[in-house]
Amino acid sequence: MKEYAFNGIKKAYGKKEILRGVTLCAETGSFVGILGLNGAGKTTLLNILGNVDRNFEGEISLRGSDVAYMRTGMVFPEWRRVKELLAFYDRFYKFDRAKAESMLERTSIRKNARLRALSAGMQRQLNFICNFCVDSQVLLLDEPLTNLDLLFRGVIVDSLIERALEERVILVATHEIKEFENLFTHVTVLKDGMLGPLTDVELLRGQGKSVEEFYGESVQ
Amino acid sequence: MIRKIFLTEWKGYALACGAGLIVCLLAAAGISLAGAGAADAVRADHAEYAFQFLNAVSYAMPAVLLLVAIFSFRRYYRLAGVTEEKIMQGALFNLFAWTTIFLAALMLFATFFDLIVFAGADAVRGQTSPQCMLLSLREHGAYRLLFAPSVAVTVSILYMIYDFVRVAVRRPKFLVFKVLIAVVCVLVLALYQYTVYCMAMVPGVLADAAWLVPPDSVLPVVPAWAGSWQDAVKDVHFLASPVLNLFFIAGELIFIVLYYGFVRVMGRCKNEIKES
Amino acid sequence: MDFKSNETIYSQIIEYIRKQIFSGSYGSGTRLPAIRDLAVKCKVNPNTIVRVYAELSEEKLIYTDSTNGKFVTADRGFIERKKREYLEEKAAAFVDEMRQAGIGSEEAIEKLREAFRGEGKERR
Repeated sequence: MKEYAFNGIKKAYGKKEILRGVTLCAETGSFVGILGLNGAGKTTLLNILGNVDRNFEGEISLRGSDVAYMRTGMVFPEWRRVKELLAFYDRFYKFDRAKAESMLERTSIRKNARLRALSAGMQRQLNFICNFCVDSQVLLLDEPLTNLDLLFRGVIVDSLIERALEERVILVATHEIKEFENLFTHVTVLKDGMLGPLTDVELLRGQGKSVEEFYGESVQ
Repeated sequence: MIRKIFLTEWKGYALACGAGLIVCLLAAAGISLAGAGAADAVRADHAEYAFQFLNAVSYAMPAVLLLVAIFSFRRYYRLAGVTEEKIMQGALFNLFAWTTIFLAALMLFATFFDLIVFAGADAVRGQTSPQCMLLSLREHGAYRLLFAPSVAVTVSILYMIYDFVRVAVRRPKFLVFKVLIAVVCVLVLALYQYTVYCMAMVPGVLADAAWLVPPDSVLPVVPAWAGSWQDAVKDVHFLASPVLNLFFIAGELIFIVLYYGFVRVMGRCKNEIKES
Repeated sequence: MDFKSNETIYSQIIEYIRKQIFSGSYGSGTRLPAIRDLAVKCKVNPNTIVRVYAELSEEKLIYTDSTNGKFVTADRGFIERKKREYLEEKAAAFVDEMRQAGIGSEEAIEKLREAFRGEGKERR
């Protein structure tokens, strides 16, 4: 895969248009930040890219088990156990189960625990670990740092750095710029249902502008 | 893919079926113990109640499994890149498999119960109405196990009708038309099923005036052979279908082809992903 | 490591490594950290480190050996020359700033001496 692209994504809830023709094209090796205010439609967009929502207009170059999507909530039923979730990922994706288990060992999540017995933060840890250990072409992350303590935020950042040289595209929808700004290769802002042009972050800084400033200006 | 879906879901189904069997065990034990030590007729009555409970479960559980197949919300499969077609096929397979498994287990239990509750008391058994011992293999022989897949076929057909309607109501934009289409489809399909049913009954009607279908009937096409294979006692179960009846098989195969073709042509959903 | 958010990251890292080389912390012939390790340490995208090492290679301050490891050049004379160039650049920039502020050379040089002395005290 040389690039990951989507074109003209439109989504409306009744009369209200959330996405009005969202387009993006990212080369493999990119780490893209999709920035935007709350309610801008970032989650709506990711749900479409992650095949959770099929009711949309537009084209996407790749969907399915080659795309790993870390959602804000837990998709698996709450009465199931952690090891069943791992088995599910193993069955339906190209999954590195050994790696996932070793990452889990460093958390306080027990393999036999039921998902509903985990705190919100632990559920997000599990969600991240599962999606991170999938050998996918595209990794979508929706606000990956919320509900997580400083320690695990560090784990997420370090894990992403370790895999950032691989031939894949990582898209992060967030407004927590601080932790990710040195990881982004490109950023774009979702505003008024449209995605701004993909901006090379080092180019931005070369012009003396920080990502925060760029974001601040874009959402005015 | 269907195998993967089965492996993912089996625990839930196994638990539900296990719970159902445990309820049967407790009810049957409780009811028959309540009549222990009493006169033969009373004991026979209690045994009947116990069997009738099991019969009721043989209606209830398939109904529950059908509702589970219809209302289960499997968003995580979409996330993992499974097409809607495969998700639905997985649901159908699970419905068929677990209905069969449960009813087979229920019949084995009923047989076991038949042996235990009447142990050393054949007189009591003689006073128990054979009608209620629908599920006992002791009463009807091992061929009665065919009852399990025959009910599975019935609920599967019902599920396919539901799926047909679900696909048919995609096109119309307004709720009024959706409801109209749904009603029309249900009526047409019900009529079709009824026709197949009646045709399957033709040989049976010629041989005997019974109305509903014997669960293990092997009604041959040629009425002349009718007498040799039929049940001496015509037990009836509303959910059983005459799976060995040629008219039935032909009619339902045509139904499956029409249903599948319809779904393929109409499409299940917009923007379906490519099967990986 | 803390980075300024409105200057390119790669140039800040290059600057840092240059200083390490000039000061001798990364002596000549020393092996530099692997791309991934340095990326984790700085908490930046490893592609940035790739660019850093590429530019330093082009400057000939570092070289890549057959095992793909990065090493500080063995040419000490070259390092010394580069160090002098670095000093010249910084001096020119400083003088430029002082001229723009209207500060005379005597005053500026005196202040520089003081600053160095102050640093010396802190070191002991």
